[in-house]
Amino acid sequence: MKRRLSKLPLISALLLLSACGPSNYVVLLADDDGKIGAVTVKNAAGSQVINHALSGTGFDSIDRPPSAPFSVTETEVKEEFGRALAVEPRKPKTFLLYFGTDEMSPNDESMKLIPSILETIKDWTVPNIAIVGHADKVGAPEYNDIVARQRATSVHDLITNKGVAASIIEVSSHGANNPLIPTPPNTPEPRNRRVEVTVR
Amino acid sequence: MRILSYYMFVATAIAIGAASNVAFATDVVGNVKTLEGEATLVSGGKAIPVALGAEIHINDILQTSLNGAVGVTFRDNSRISIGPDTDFYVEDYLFDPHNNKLSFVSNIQKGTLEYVSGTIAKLAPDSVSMKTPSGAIGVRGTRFVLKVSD
Repeated sequence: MKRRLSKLPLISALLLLSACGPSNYVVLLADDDGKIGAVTVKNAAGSQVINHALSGTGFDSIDRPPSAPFSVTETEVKEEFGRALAVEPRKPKTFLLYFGTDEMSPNDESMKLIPSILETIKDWTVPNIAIVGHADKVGAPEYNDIVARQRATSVHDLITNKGVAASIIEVSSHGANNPLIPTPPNTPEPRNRRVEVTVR
Repeated sequence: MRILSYYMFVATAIAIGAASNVAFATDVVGNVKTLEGEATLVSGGKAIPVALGAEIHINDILQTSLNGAVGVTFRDNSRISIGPDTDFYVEDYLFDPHNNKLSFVSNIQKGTLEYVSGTIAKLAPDSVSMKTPSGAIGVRGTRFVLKVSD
């Protein structure tokens, strides 16, 4: 008797997404690194937070609140979402380049990464490249932005000189607002004064 | 002297930016990276078959056929892939961390989808949402699947 009871939740979970389950629902998954975030489903009637992997909520009607969380199996996720999961784009790859104080070209150590960047671009089916300059939180934001942008531009020139088409590259500056290492204001942090090259 | 060198520096930076023909701004929000079967991109009232590398703009509608599937990587490294018989578009997209302008609002009317979050969700989680006919999903990261039936 005890055994039969313990099987019930599994059976109901299996039925949930096929025959009698919700027609509109979201399921949270762990990412590549095993990290689990959270989603909130909200409509006119209420809201529901989901913060466990393989947990979902149904919301078939705008007039009814999202359902209490339910569990699904990996098999069910594959059955329902296999086609979308199969075309998940490759995870973008990011390279960090560093510069000496007031230098506009990457330092010697960072220059050694340029061949790997070029290899990665060749290896990508349809590559786009973002070259983003970053500053730390010391100094005037306008000045930092200009330095960051100029350093990004110098990296742009380095890789276009090696034959990468400028049309697939986007150059920008995030100033000090996208730090690698979060710091309080006015803190010198050399690791944040960088150019990120992302192949995606 | 310091001020003078600052202005000289600005002038040089502007000159370099102009000379090297660098793309600093774009209205493209993402590119098609993967494709199976047939899919259509409706852009400015025109429908064209989806090809690898195709540029996605705000309000472009991605429609997959009954055997189609498409994956898009966005400028902030967010990734969205859609399964068969799906209608998806981006309503609003801002990726300008320097000026604190961050927003990613998308819309799915029907179909299946996988979402993997990027930099916008990391820097401004409250500005990422996905709308469906029966509710909106607020995204705090990092990966989910979603089904919307007709």
